Amino acid sequence: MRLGPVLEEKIRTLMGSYEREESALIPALMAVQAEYGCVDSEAAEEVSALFEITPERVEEVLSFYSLLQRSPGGRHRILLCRSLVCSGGAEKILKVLQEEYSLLPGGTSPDGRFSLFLCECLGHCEKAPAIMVDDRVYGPIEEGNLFSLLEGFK
Amino acid sequence: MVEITFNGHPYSVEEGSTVLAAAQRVGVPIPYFCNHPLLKPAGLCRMCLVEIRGFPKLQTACTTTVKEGMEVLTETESVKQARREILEFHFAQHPLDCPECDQAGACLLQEWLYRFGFTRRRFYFQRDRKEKLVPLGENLLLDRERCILCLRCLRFCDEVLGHHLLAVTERGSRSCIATAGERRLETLYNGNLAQICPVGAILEKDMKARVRNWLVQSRPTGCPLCSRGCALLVDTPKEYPYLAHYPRLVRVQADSRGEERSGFICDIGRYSLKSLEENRLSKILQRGGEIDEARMKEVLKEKLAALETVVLSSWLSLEEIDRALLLFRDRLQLRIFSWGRGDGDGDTLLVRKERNPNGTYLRQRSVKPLVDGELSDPGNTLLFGDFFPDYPLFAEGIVRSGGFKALITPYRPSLKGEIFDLVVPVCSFLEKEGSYMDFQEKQWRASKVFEPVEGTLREGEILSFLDGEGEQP
Amino acid sequence: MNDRIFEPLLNAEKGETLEGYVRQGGYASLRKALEMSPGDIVEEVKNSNLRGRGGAGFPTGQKWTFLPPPDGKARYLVANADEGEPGTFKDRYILTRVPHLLLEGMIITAYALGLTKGYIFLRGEYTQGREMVERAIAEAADAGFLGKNILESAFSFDVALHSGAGAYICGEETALLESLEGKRGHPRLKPPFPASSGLYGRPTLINNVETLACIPSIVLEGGFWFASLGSQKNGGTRLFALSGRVLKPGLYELPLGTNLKELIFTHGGGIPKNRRLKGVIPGGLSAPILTAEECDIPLDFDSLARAGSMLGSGAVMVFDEEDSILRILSSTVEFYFHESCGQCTPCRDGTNILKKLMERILSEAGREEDYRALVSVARGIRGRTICPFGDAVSMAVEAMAIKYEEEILGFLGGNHG
Repeated sequence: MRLGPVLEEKIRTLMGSYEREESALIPALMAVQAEYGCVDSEAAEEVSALFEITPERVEEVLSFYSLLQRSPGGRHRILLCRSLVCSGGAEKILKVLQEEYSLLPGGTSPDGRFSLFLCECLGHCEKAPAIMVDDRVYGPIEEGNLFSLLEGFK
Repeated sequence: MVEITFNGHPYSVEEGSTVLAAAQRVGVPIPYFCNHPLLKPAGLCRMCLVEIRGFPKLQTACTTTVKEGMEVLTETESVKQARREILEFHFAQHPLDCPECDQAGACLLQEWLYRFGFTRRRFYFQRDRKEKLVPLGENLLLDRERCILCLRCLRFCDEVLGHHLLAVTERGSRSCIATAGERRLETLYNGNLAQICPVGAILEKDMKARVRNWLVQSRPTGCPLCSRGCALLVDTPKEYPYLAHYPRLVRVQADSRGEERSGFICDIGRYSLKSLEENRLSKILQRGGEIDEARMKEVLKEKLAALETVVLSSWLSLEEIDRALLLFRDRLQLRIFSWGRGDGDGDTLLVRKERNPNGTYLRQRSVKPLVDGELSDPGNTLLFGDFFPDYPLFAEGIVRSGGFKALITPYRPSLKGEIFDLVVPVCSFLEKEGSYMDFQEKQWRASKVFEPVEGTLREGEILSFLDGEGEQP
Repeated sequence: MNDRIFEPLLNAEKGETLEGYVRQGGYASLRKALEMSPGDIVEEVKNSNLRGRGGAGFPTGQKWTFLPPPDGKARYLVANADEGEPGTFKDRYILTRVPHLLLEGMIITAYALGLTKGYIFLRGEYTQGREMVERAIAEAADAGFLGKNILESAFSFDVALHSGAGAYICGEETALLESLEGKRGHPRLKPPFPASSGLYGRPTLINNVETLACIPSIVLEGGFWFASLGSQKNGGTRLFALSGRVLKPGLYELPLGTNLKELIFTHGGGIPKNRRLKGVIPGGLSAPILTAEECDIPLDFDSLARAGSMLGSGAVMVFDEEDSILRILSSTVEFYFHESCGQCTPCRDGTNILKKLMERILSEAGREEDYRALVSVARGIRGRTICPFGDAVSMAVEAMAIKYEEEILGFLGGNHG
């Protein structure tokens, strides 16, 4: 997708806020993702043109960081923590997500509402098991509150 | 110089060099992958780990600078174990492609595994599958399974070419060398990536399954295709049954062994040098018919007395030019001009605008370049044209003139109609020895790579003959 | 004088606002600091025996002395808020409940070392933390605690927030710098160290959030006071993130030297249903696991190091008899496999091989030789990598595998899951 003037402006502001422009690259990509849910190759190329760097520079960063996505998924992104303290609970949550939402890691639910990714420690271990939906982390997740949490997302 | 020891033996090494470079100089074996003389040390592959007294952990020899009194140990049990185990990791991940891999015989992974590796495998499992035929450029293919992520290719693009054309994508063991999307490398230096890759990950398409590395001989010479004269290796097949019908020039590589030359070459030299092998002339032609050498000598002897103009080519060697000038300019006092291939586009790296190897020397010897229109009546002309099958466009004047014209060239003229009265076949650049002068006025030596094609003479021979004939004033 | 630094602040009403923070005595330390000489502040930090709270536990005062003298050009302070070590959530509390404590610590540190610009590198997943910190920066700037001529002194300093994008390795100092510079988080070769060549090649100090958060109280109450709170050479209290099989998982501020058993059973409420303790990871995933028999141990850097483990990030994860070592090992191997940056062979290939061996061990095809290979491969990564990540996976996996050999071999021998 094209960036559009608003996003372009936002990125230019980010570039100007750092002593070296390239430091704004990852925040710029996160801004694109915040707007469109992902950074596809068209957007990536536009970003590379804005920064005056090769598209390879953008590609290597885009593919390194777990929070950056290159293709669109569901309307809401679920990150399920599978690190040590959450790992036992995560297994159970995975099962529920598969059975009740037809959601597999890396996939999207049939109704297009959710994408699911496994992730590493979210830093909410005292509330294990934890999941992140869009911008917020929730926990402890049990079958009971999982449904009510997810139903709130359209 | 700095005094250090390798395994207890004292050595004098150059100050400021790395432990690895010093070891290579004095012949102490230390394995490596990511290190390369053209590139900054990266310390990525960890293959060159050595023990250095005073350091608690093993150190990478490629990133450590020698210091006075440094004691380096390269054969302790801890170093040997590190090498074995790192190689074991490589071996567990690397596809067993050796039987069909073009790098076999010139592969660093094979070499270190052979020399420093292990004999018993401790674990077997399915290796990760990755793409094996990723197009990187017109003649370049990437095999991601074979790639050991030494990043030489990427660093070459960054450091030598100055552009970030390759990327490492993904993370961890999923990492791959890649371009963005469907982009391809379209530089004039693509071939160097295949050469710089220590394993068979980046390969030239036209060399796929072509010839085994141990069945070629690499012969050094320099490149005549521009005035830089990069050091080259011309690979020629050894005598071997199935290679009998192979062209004798099977591959061109950069010669990175010496320090005076750049250590890499452009794709023009790498891939067009073989055009010097095409359209060879092996018969002496006189106005369309063939004559023999004896008859040729008669004709030359007859016409030499009336010779007025000589055009020297900027592909002649220093020695040939000296000889020719002595005879034609100093002794016979004829008009002398020079010519060569037309200019091409230069770039900021290796490619020079001037596409001839000895133009600099001719200018140094004050030989005027032939300029179109300047010469309206050259008279009887002797032309040395060892660089082309046709006359350059700016030689219209000569071509349209009357007078006897003899062309000395390795290549069959492809002109319509017969412009030259006599065409004498000579050996090509790759078939002779000689000195050349690059654009910085440094001399380099062209070595004889091939035996002259049968039927050809040498320019030196002709000059000798003419010299002998010209003895009488 | 209170002997708890964080507790009152974390529990204060509206502690996340400037107003709430100041009501608790916030920024008094900054005022005092600006009256002191920079050298004196460094002295106090040295006396405090404060050691890095991010994981490495390096003496902070000593680390501060690695910076060269100011040369009139940019020098940077980076607060490492990438908190990615599994089990760790202490910095999250500081960032969301009392972000001004971090800011005050940063400003004092910058003043003491002549640093010209500060960044908070915050992991991308801490979105709530980002809101709080951004607001705190704005408040502090408005109040004159940041910006030009802070509190009418000659000292100027600015702080900006920079978000990470999901890569554990960016918690490593030089990988963090790479990320801040807009690149992949590939750790750099050291030397040079960030103190001489850091952000944009300039001298840079990187400290963990909690470490910087200790600075205000050290300056206000004195370094020796801070040191006295802890044990010898291990000054102060610290925030322990307790999780896993305990009745009361959460954040606990306790003096360094507190017994691990006390943390688990007295403060943490013990193990649910009185199940048997199986083992504890005392300092984040990278800290070698302690068996139940090894848990009678003071929680400080030196004691744990002597026992072959580490205090690390102070993330204490408790396991009981319901936890299979296979799952613990598997989750650990999976984590390092996923987070290895991939630069160097021993780690990139080693973590991959560990994952494959683990998969085979868990499957019907698993044999004892796979277990032996696992231990050997883990050992083969140590000491040969560019950064400590390789040492971390090596030590963590080896400890789990060796100390619970019986359970693993038992699993392999008979019951394949």
